Amino acid sequence: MGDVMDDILKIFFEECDELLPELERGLGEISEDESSQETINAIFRAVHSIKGGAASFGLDRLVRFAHVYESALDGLRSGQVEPDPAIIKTFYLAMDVLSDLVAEAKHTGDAVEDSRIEENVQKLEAIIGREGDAPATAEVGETPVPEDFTPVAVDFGGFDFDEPAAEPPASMLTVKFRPHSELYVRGDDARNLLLGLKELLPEGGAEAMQVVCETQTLPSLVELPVDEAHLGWTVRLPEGPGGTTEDDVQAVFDWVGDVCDLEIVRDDAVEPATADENHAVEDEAAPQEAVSADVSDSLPVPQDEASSGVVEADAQAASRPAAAPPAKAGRKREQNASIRVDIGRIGMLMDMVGEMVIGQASLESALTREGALHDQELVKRLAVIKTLTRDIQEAVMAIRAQPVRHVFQRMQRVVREASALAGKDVALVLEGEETEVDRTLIENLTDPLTHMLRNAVDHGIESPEVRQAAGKPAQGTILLSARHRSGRILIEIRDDGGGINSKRVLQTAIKRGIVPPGVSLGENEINELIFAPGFSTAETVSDLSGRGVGMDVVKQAIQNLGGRVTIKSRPGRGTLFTLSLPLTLAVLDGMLIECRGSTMVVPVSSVVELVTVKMGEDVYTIPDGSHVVSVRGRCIPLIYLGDELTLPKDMIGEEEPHHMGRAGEDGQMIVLVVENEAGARAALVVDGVRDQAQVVIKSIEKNYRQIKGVSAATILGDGSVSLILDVSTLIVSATKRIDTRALEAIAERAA
Amino acid sequence: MADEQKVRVLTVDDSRTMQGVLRKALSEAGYDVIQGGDGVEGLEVLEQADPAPQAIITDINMPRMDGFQFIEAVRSREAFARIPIICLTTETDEEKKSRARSLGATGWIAKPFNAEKLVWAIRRVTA
Repeated sequence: MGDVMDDILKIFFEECDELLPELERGLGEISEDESSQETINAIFRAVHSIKGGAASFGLDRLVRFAHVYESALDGLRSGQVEPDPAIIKTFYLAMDVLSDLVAEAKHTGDAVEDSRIEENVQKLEAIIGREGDAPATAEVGETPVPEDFTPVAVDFGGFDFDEPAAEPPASMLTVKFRPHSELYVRGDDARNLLLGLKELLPEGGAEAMQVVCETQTLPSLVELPVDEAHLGWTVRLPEGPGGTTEDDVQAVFDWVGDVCDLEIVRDDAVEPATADENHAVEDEAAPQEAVSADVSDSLPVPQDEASSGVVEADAQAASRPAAAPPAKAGRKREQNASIRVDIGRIGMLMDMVGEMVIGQASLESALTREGALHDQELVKRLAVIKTLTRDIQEAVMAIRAQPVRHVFQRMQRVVREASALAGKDVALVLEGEETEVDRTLIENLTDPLTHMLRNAVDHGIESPEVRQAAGKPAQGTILLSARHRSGRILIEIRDDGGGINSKRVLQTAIKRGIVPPGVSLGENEINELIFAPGFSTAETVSDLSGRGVGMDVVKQAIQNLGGRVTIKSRPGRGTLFTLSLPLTLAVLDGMLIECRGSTMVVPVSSVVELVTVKMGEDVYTIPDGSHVVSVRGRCIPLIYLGDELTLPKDMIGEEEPHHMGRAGEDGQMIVLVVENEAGARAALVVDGVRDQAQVVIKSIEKNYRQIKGVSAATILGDGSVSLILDVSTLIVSATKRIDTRALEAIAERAA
Repeated sequence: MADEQKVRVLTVDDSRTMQGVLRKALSEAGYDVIQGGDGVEGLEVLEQADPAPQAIITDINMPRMDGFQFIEAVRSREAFARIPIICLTTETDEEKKSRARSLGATGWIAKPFNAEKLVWAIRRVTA
């Protein structure tokens, strides 16, 4: 039994995870004045459902708060309360409290401080003018629960009535009732009420109930109106222990008070069987079953059942389901829209698909070795398997994909809290929330995004006064958007703040020894410096972003996801951070390259072109000793991959031209031009390109340690392990070394 | 099959938690439970159900089709005109109660409910 409850509790928390964002979305719409009555209903329902669910588990703190919140929202729903900015803010803050209380109940968050709850309760009550009710005490345990509401944990204990059958009753209750025809219209039945009365009596005590049906008012059959009620009943039953109470009797008629004549009279003199002339009286000795039988019998003529349709329905309702097959159609129907699957199972599937990709590659590789690939038939079939493998992989990825909405909406709170702390007015606008990304990625995006948005509020957006002085609206705007682009997902954080002060950034970088003094850097390179470890321009460590975490950590986190961060900044106009992430962490399209006898993988997405250059003609040495190559009139830093990765030279054992790249006798070199998200390029000198293939990403950090310039490893079709290059890092380290001005000079010369 | 002996109850509620709790409470009390996630779904389930449920428990505040519309829709179908419908809701508004009544609701239980009260209510209308 506990297990089932645990499962339901799990469902409850899952539901909370869906309802809270819904609440947030609704509040967003209201604050932007785009709300409809349906929005208001939806947010009301969200809080309402959380309360209802929480009540079932005795989560009192959550229930109490949700109740107050709900009441305030009800004011909104009924139109008593107009949503002004202050009220919306209160609702937002209350939502945060609610969400923290859910986390508290889930044990994923710290206990919410009582004072914070109390403060919010008072604000909420003030909205509907109930502040008077709130006691001054901040004790949450004593938060007033309005009279009309008591949380009741569901008790799944037995339903047996095992009160002892007691002494003879002290008094009898006489219940007279006469249903109106409306009672039947509402799907109720006099029979139900009679049985309801019987149920009030303790087990075995039913024989003490006497039922008399009053049929005097029944017209003759000829003139009987079929849709009216004509019968009344008089029931006598014992009161007290072994019997019932007047309140309980009243409760039986609770729902029908307005559709029947009812009279309950207590008579102290115990008179057995007051028989009215023409009516059957309950035999006192009748066993319990007989009572039910008699109750049914005491309906001599059905009142409104002449219409056959109704009779049928009634018969079905009255007799326990007949011979009809126990069709499960209804239940199946419920489930066809979507199913919930344990994420672990999908992870397993994903792993197996990964292995399948490797298996398929190794099959192909083995067949190639055997020379079997001349067999056209075999080639065709292999191609089919290849296509299928890719399709399956995409299908599994689609299962894991989730819209970024959830994590995006969480950022609303981050910005709200950060701007409150910084005393700024900032609106977060979301775009492309429907964009789907691999679930793992989404989970790992929260922290970096949180940090970047805090930064944007803290360092990006100026104070309202400064903004107004600059002729901007006092409220700053941050745009958080997501979209797909060429097999990757791009997330942009664009603020309309003051932009990056490059001069100050450069000064700081020099001061911290990140770059040598007198270095000449372009604006973009300077901006990139804020990602350098140990960099922080904030003079005073602020409460917000200055939590000992710099942008370098953000960058690292994004890189660990196989992503890149780039910045664009326009002074006075704002800053744009772009995160480019792979759609999945599991597989990538790679180009297999050879370098000093090793095969390595370069993500196809970062390859611009493959060109052959001449050592003497296209390659220039710049004053600092590094090399650049001119490709299509553009000077690109040259990276001697073997040296960069310190691959042992003796691996090829032969003569070895220049730094590594096996330049042919005529000084020809193969270079792979690669590009990062910011558009920065570098040329990798390689020995050759072997193939293009889909590779399964295996974490190298998890199994070994991080290697600079390498993002992960993979297993190739022939079973060998190969490294996947982190092109972005390689480009950055290459461009950093090189004096840009020298590059420009060479570019001019080359042109 | 044991199910054929059981009284079938349709519960309509948009909260999955509530649906879980209802399913558990009712099935432990020996009922055969079928469920719908809002009025529209409830109506679908009702129409597909064979045998038809002998009682319906419905929430009031639901998306797409709320409890009032649902009651009205059920009552307008001759085959279901007599199935008892119990509203299970936190709404305590008298005006809403009487609206539900006039649309044909049989009874009203306030949430949060306890299982005993719920079972009592169903027995009360399916006796």
